[in-house]
Amino acid sequence: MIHLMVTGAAPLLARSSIRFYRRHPAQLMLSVLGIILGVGIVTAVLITNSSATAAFSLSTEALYGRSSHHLVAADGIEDASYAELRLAWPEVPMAPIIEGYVAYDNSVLTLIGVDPFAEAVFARFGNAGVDDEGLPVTTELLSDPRGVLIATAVADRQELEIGTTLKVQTPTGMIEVLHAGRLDASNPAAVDGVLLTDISRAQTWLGRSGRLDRIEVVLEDRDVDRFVASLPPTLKLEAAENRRATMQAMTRGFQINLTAMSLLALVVGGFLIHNTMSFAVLQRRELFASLRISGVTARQIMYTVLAEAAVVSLVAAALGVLLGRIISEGLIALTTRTINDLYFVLHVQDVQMSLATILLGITLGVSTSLIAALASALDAAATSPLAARQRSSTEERTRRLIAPLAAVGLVLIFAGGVLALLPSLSLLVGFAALMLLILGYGLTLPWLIHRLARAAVSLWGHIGVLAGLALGGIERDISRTSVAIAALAVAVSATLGVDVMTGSFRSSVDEWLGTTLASDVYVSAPSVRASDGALLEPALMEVAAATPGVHKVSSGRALDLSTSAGRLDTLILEPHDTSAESFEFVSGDPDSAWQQWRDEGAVLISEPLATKHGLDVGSRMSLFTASVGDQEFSVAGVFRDYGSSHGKLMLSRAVFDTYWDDERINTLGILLDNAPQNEQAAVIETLRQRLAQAAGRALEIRSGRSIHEQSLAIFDRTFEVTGVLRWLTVGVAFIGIFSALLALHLERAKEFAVLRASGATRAQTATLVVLQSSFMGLLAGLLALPLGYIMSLLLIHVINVRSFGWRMHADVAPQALLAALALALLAALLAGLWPAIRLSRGGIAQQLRDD
Amino acid sequence: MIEAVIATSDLCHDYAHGQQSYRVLNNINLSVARGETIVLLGASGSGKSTLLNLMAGMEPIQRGDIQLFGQSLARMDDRHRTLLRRESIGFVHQAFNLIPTLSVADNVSLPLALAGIPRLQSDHRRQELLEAVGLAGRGSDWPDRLSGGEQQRVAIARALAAKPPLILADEPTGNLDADNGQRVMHLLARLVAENSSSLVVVTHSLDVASIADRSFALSAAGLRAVDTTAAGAAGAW
Repeated sequence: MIHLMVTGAAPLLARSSIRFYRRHPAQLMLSVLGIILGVGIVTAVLITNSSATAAFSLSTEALYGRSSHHLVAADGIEDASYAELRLAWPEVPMAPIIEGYVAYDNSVLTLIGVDPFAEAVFARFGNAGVDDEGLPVTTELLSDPRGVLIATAVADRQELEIGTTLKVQTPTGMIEVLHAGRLDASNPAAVDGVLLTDISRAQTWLGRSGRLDRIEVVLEDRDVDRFVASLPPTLKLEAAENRRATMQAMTRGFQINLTAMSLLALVVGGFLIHNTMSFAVLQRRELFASLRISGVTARQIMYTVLAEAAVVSLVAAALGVLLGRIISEGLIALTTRTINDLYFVLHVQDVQMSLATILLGITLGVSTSLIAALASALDAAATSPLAARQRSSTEERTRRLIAPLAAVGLVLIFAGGVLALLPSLSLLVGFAALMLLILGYGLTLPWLIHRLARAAVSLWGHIGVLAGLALGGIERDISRTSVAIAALAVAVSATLGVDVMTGSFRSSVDEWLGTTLASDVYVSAPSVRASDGALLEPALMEVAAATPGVHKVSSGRALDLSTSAGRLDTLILEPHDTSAESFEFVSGDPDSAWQQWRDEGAVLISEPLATKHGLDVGSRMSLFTASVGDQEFSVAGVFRDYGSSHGKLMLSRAVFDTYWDDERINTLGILLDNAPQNEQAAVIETLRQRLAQAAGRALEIRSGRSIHEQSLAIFDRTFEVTGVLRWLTVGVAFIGIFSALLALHLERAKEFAVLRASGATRAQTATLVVLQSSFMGLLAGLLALPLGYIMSLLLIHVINVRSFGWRMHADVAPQALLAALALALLAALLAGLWPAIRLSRGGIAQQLRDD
Repeated sequence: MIEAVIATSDLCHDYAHGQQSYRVLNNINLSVARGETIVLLGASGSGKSTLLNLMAGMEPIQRGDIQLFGQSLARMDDRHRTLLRRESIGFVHQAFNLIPTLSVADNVSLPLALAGIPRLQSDHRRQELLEAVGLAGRGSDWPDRLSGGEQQRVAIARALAAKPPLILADEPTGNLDADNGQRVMHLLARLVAENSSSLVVVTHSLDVASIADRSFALSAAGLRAVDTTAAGAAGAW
């Protein structure tokens, strides 16, 4: 650039560039649009992730206040323990907490029970949530036994006036609460979705009377050891920061995957930017040659092209950031729903668009454009002034280049393969392998396209003059056609890779659900969220077993246990005869694993847990039990599980009973006698009545099939975000191929005019354009298949395993392959229609004059 | 009376430029007989190329008519004009207009392929023409590897490929030096004669007019027959 300034040629070259783009406004607009979309997608994901993270941090900070540590127990802390601790440590601030989920008007809210008199020192919710005495508006809270404070955001959204009552679904049933006051915080977004009430009230409503979830404490570092030493073995002190980190780690894989998807869109965008810039350079070869002859140096030409890319991409990236802000609204809603479905309840109120996000979006857009334009800039600079005037020299040069390029591509593919096979758990290495693979394959594509086009000419070129011209044109114009086809192929392969990955995942989950849901009927207490652990009376197991038509009954209890691998979802299972069949072991002999688990006190762990913590059969894990505190268990087997990416642990009921004095259960799994469907329906109805009578309330009785279907519906919802990103990527690809074909065909306007002057009809000219576009689409589709397939293998066997710990089999549905082919064909066909119409309608004499 | 291959009657043509329009052809009446060579002379902007484009059916007729082999181009839609052009007309352009992505041989074969001539027959005709224009060994070359004269010889071969009864040539020597221009014109005249085709040449070169059976000067006033020898001496056109 400096060089240009010094010579003073910059303004002239800039004017020349501006004139070029003014004469090709559609081309400029399309390339700008491609960058806008690419940057828009990345920025939207950046905003979504930062908004979710900020909302999470904000709410945890507001809820945890100044607490430095939490006291937890294996399954809740008894009220009495809290009283004893307060007496033993009067100088240490402590506050008991119980937390659970309730529902109001189809939205899930977090009910938090606090001891208003212990709260002051914790400065929860900032200063806004406390009254003059430093208490969280205690008067209102205590004035009515139904009183709750409702987060301002919720109250505003639901238009709830203070003093009104509302019906809320709790794990113990529908209750009426009084809107006693508003729960404010320094930042209202921090407490969005929260209902606050007195702890005893919350215990009753959540069905956990006499128990606390945790006791929050404010401890100085110097007191920690002394404090821990005084604790009974049934209580454990955890740093507040650990809890936050654990929760953030749960969503990290999901967020990284979203980012990766968006970067994939940007890589596709990069190919398209390269495509656009290549055309912009190729179209001006003669102009550049004239400039070179006039004394402009090769370096000046290169800088001109790079400067064009920089200016165009800077404007487009800035607009892309604005688009990202718009897209992020929808994306945040989808992402929050997924986090709520899979991890925890999160309300995102504020869209976080920091200066760093804006700069990152723009930098990514501009740098991708510059890298993509570099090859074209070097190409423009490297051509000799005289050769540049000869079209054939460009094509010959391209033909000479494609083989060495393919060789470099193969090396990159090999390097990507090696990286993918490295025994590493690094997600970054996985993505590097993916990017190398895409880039490597992209470089081999021109060679493959040339070969395939040549083969097509010899196979079908003689069918008719139009077929011959259309197919031959692809091979002859290889410098142009290969770039356009490669860009479309990469874009389509990305969608195919994601499609196959999603499809494989879905079929694996489907298969797993079919195996796991081995019982005919499942009984649970009504609950707000599936994972909130509403309890059932243990006696119900006998009631169910005694019902005629019931073959076997198993019971399950879900707990959140503190273990040497962090807090883990734990299932305590009392199996029936066929329960073993519902587990697919990925490590360990199934029979021996089951027998060790059932009879010898071993534990079973899920695949993600094993992968993330490097555990396997024979490993030992420490569990924090109710009776003796930390206790070691050996791992007997690793089972397939897609229920939790965080990991899952399974204990037998017998082992649980040894270390916990807690008979309660959450679910019953009931196997019915073999009988016709109507008889089984009658049995289920009887069960419903008997269990309701025994429990004193209606229970949820659902068939394995309906749980299966609901789980798949949640799965599909989870991948809606991926689907949106995938379609946006397709949008980028379509714009790219449209712009490439438009440029390609319009550049050949004079050739088409010559054809028409030689006797080709309008229809023939249009057919020729459409035929050529379609064949380019077909080539792109065919070439996308291998890359898409390999990409899906990488996503399935490397990225997914490293993100979530899930392994699955690759399931390539023929429909996915056909859909990819159809997508490429359709995109190219649609993209070819406009040039076809335009070229066939143009006046011959006019086009011949316009050189 | 000798049958006319092409005949214009009261042909007018205007070009619009912004709000204004200006007339480039004013009541042109011209008839070309079978085997006849006509040269149209005129200064730049006099409408020579426009007249040729109208005769080739490449631009719609605004006023008047052109009868091509007894068929009215004015009453014909674009498709029929194209089909008639394919069968009856070969066009030689000033800028050669060879298709850069087709080889020399493929450029010559193009009209034959469009006319649906079988491959074997087409190959034979192409070879015959390439030999006739002295480029038999250059069939596999790309057009931009040829000199200007060579490119125009390929364009002539292409125009004559489907043996059209009428050849229209728009400044065929305009991009060539004098020697090359002369050689190309003689080649064109010889091949047209061998083919018994008619030829209409648009030019501003009096040298080219030497091959004409009849010559006309085109100006804003209309078409006027000229004696090229005398005109050349006096610069009358």
